[in-house]
Amino acid sequence: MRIGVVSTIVPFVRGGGRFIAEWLRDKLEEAGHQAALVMLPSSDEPDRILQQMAGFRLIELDAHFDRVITLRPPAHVVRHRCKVAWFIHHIRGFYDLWDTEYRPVPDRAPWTALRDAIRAADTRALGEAHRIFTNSRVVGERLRAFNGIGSEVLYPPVLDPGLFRAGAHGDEIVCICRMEHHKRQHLLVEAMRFVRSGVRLRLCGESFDPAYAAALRDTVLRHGLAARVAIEDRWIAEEEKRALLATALAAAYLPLDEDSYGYPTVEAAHAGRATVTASDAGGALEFVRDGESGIVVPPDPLAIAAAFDALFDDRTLAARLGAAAAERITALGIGWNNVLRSLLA
Amino acid sequence: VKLVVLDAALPFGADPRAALRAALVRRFAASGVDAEAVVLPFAPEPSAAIELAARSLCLFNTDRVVALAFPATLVPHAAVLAWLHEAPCGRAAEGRALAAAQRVLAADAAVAAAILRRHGIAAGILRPDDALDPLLA
Repeated sequence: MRIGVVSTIVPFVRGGGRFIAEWLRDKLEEAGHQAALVMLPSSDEPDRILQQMAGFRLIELDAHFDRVITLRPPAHVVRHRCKVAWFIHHIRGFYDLWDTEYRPVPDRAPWTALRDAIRAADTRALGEAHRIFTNSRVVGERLRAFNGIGSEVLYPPVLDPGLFRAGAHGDEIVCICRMEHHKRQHLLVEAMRFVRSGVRLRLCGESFDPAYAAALRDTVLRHGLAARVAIEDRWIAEEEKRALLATALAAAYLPLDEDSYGYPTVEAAHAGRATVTASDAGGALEFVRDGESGIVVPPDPLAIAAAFDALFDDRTLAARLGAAAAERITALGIGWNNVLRSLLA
Repeated sequence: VKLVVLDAALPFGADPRAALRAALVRRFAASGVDAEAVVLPFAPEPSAAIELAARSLCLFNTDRVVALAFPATLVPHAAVLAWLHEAPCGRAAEGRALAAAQRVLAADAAVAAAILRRHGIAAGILRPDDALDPLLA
């Protein structure tokens, strides 16, 4: 089958949204299909969104593909006779974040009209799809609530799970994801002020906002945490990531109301590491069950510090939660066979 | 500097500039420029739909664009350098885009002559193996 994996990119921004498309293309080819990436540049600038959507509608795809699988928004607005949407998030400022500080425009005309037009366009385009999957229950619930559209959950796997390995548990909590304010690494750094054990923290990941990484470093210096907190705001190669996880005490991932469980969570689980997350982390809570496959705490530095200390003081706890996290991957059916079977049905 | 090498090629179709794009990204990286290739799924044959679609796209988080062919040349950006490797299609939209570009270069004399003939624009010549300095000036 000739399959187009259609998604959007912001140039120079790497991360899960890009990986999922590239990995899906690779897996489709491994399965014997002809697969091609169609990566359309896009921007969330409010006054450009509808224009981009209109442009996407004009792209001829029927002639090249038997099926297209759309991913990052607004790729789902493309037209094709057999369009499967694997919907990974809305343009959230116009949806669930409208009534929050993350709303990108004022709450008045003409912006409310733009919001309504975006929602209507999404609803229409997704209504054209042959099938609709989401990457989490959270996103599925938003689709139901805002667009009146039903969907199935299809959890995204990592590319090569077998390459992750589990070594002895060390002293370090690692957080490997983009270093951005909504990922809330600042809570982890703040938490290190309150730990009473010898636990250490390592933050790794590219940042779209250099000021945020600088602020994290400033916090570390201001509170004399340099000996126990390492900050590496750069791209972390896959093997380096696997090595860090293999000897970590546990992982931490505390995004604010994230769309999915996030690759950091499932990568840690593949390495037999539990994840410490927050009760308002969104999709991560579909994977991490408190006291079973990780630790869920309020988004509060004191509570995070207590979780870090608990894992440091009781390595059997860290090992038990990590082993359960690895088992949870299977329990949730996270794997490429399941993904391909669903997307190609 | 974040520089996008922007091009167009149809999925599963002929992609004569694939090696050029990859080499450009490598060469820019070697000279300290953060470069990424972006390929739009458009046929080189002009049509109103393709022109409108290309003009509707948005390149965010990008300081400079090196556009290699129609209709990549039509994608709006404040700092476009058109470096054409084939004769221009001659559409009016292409002429307007080239006129608005910061600089227009051709990969050889024949392409430069075609740009002058079809759009009245005198393009400099930068061959694929030349130093890339003119793309960064």
